[in-house]
Amino acid sequence: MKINSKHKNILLELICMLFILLFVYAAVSKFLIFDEFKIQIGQSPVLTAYTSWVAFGVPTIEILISLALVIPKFRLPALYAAFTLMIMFTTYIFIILNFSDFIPCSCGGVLEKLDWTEHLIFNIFFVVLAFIGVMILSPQKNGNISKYAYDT
Amino acid sequence: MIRKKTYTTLFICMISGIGIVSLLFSLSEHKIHRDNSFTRRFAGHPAIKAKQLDLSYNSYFIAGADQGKIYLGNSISPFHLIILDTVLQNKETIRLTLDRDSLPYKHIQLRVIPPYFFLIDGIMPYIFRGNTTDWKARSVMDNPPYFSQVEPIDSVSLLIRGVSGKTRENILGKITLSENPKVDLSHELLQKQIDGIFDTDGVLQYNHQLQKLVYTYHYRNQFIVADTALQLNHLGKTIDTISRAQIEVGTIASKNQLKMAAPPLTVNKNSTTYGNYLFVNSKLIGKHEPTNVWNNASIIDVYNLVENTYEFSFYVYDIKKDKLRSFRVLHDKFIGLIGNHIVTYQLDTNQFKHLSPHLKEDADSKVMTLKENL
Repeated sequence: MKINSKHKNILLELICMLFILLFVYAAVSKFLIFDEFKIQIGQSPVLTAYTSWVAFGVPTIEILISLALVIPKFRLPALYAAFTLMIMFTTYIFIILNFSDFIPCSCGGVLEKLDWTEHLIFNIFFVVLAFIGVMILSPQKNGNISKYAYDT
Repeated sequence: MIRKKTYTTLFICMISGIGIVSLLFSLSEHKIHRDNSFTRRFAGHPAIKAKQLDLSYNSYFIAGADQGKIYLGNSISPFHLIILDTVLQNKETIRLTLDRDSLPYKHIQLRVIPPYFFLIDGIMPYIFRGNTTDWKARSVMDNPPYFSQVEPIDSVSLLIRGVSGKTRENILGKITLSENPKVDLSHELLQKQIDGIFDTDGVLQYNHQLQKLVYTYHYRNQFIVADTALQLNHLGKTIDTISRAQIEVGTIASKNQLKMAAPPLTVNKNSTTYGNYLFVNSKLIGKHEPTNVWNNASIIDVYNLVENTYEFSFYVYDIKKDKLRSFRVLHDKFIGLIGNHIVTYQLDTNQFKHLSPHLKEDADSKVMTLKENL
């Protein structure tokens, strides 16, 4: 049981680190070529009406989630947020692939080299990671609280 | 109990994530596919599908059409040419040759106007010409200007669209081949609305019957008719209401690039001209038109260039989810490329009063009926 929870903690740390790596990398590569990124967002049939909001909002949220993942207190909400964000990216790709007659791309750095299907798999993988992270963290946290509650 | 709460939260996160993106999508779809306040005319059956042939590849384009023959070039294999008759039965494959061993190319284009053909690259740039008896091309101009579109008028003159060195905007011009080749440019024909590059984009064509240049804008409801001296004849109006190009252009300073910054509102996707008519594949749906038909077909609007009027419209149907890519009209046939297929539509000469069948084909069918009667 103890080994099990130790493994779980390592896995959790790994998941958080992967997310931080992904989000910081993606956000920085977007900010580095911000004028180009903004145009790419604008070309997207789904996002064109909200270009400046999305262009600024997405990398900002990515940075914020990364910061929150570092702070233990905010880790659980950050994992929920990461989960939601990855779900949103995945939905976006799904919609672009299936319902749009025009397919642009606006991912940062090396992610641009992925084709859309690879991208979809990549995203689903991260959705699963966030899911696992939440599952590991939430009973621990809630469990502790309830344990304290029972003790008092 | 705790597990259940976690699942509920995750579920809410998932639903709201999917919800937000779907909402964004449905709102933007609404923005793009709004109703337009114009009405198309659908009367009788101006065009009925006649023949269809599988070409096995989707890289063919129509390089020319004349005297009952359709010439198909291939963008992947630029020295390969197919000649088809208008009933799509007799197929002849030609291998183009050059007066040299190899030729580098970037955007090589083939144009056939019997008894000549041109192999042209506007980016390298070079112009090769040959005749349709031996299909061997020779360079006919040293250091031609750069251009993005080209349509031959005859064996010695070609219409081009390039970029003006002075204004950095699109410009129409004419190359005259001779001992001392000449390039004429017209700064007046294309009218800038936004940036002069994207907003003036369109399709350059030459109408051999009327001997007119026809240029159909992609992003506004206008086409230009001019003579071979590049003098404006008249400006035509397509039936929709988009008189100003609705595009956004952004610059990427670090790469010194100009790019479309939003999906453009395409008005006229493609066009062709033959006889008195201009055929335009519009991207805008009119009033009272069923969207389910639009999902499975392309619309062709027919304009009369001589009377400067809109005549009527007809549909060209998709083949296996592929939409009409490019098209040409020859005699009384509409020829279209759809995915791997080439199709012909028979045009009703009662509605297309100025079109008539090809004489030879007509004679052939008479011989056929004669034989049948015997």
